[in-house]
Amino acid sequence: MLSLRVNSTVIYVMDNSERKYGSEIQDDPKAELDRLKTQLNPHFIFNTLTSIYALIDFDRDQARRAVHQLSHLLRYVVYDISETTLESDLQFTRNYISLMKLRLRPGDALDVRIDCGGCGNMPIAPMLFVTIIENAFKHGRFTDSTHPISISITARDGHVNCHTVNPYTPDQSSSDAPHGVGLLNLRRRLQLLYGGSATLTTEGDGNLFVCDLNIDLNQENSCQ
Amino acid sequence: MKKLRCCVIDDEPLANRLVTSYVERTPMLELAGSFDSAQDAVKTVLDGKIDIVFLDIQMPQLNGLEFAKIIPSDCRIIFTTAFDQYAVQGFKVNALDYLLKPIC
Repeated sequence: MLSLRVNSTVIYVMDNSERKYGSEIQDDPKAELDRLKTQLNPHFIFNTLTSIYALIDFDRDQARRAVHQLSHLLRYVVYDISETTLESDLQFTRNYISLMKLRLRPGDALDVRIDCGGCGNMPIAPMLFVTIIENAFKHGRFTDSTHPISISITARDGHVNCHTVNPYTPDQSSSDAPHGVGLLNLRRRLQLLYGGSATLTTEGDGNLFVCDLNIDLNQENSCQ
Repeated sequence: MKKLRCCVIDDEPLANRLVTSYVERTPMLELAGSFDSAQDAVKTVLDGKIDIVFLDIQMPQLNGLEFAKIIPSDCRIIFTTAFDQYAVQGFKVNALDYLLKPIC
């Protein structure tokens, strides 16, 4: 038996009634949004702790900075917010990228450009960019290429654009492909939150994978 | 006394450096190489008369469990990983030991 806590009500659903579970979720966008909410990958947390443990031996100042960044990151995730500002979310994103950088090899190149373009106070749903960035690192790392992992998040007049380009190997097995469940969930979440005001496109271009997310934050949000 | 020749294989640069530093500090161990992917280690491990491989499990492309299957049987494998869900599989491929990160 599977138990789900939705808006303080516990609903019990038998394991074999997946269809019932599915239809309940479709009828309740809030419940579906809860299910789709981006969460930090536990592997990210444990690998980061392992890196910090090693840094204590090799570079104590960097270890301190990393603990600080991880604590900010966890605070953001633990306090379950449904809406934040672009500025706060971009700070979260910067911390995430800094911690992911600990895991790059010396030869791996990374270009990051983040600029909230005067839109820092605009409301936005939290952690919309992290799935895209996680993918860029996952597939861009360890691909022998001179092309850097490139991450750009910019905003102007309430329009925010997140654009990533990373080298990848097109013949990776499907479970590991860059269009996996994370991006599917993100797509559905964007649809529920922003409808036609958000577009997410992904394309493989030779040995590069390009992801482009556009959100118009000026539109009223129907599910908040 | 003959030193034991060791290889360290881990794609996480800091974790790799830590295990490598432990090997270097241990008088009875000799570092034959440290590698950030299993592919890069194939030649050394298959040719190099290695006694012990410290092997991470979750790595892109060739993972530690797959690599373990081609390691010569006289070479001992010590898995190093942040995730205990691989422990049982690790012992199925004849691991000598299994260290959960962070390794102290």
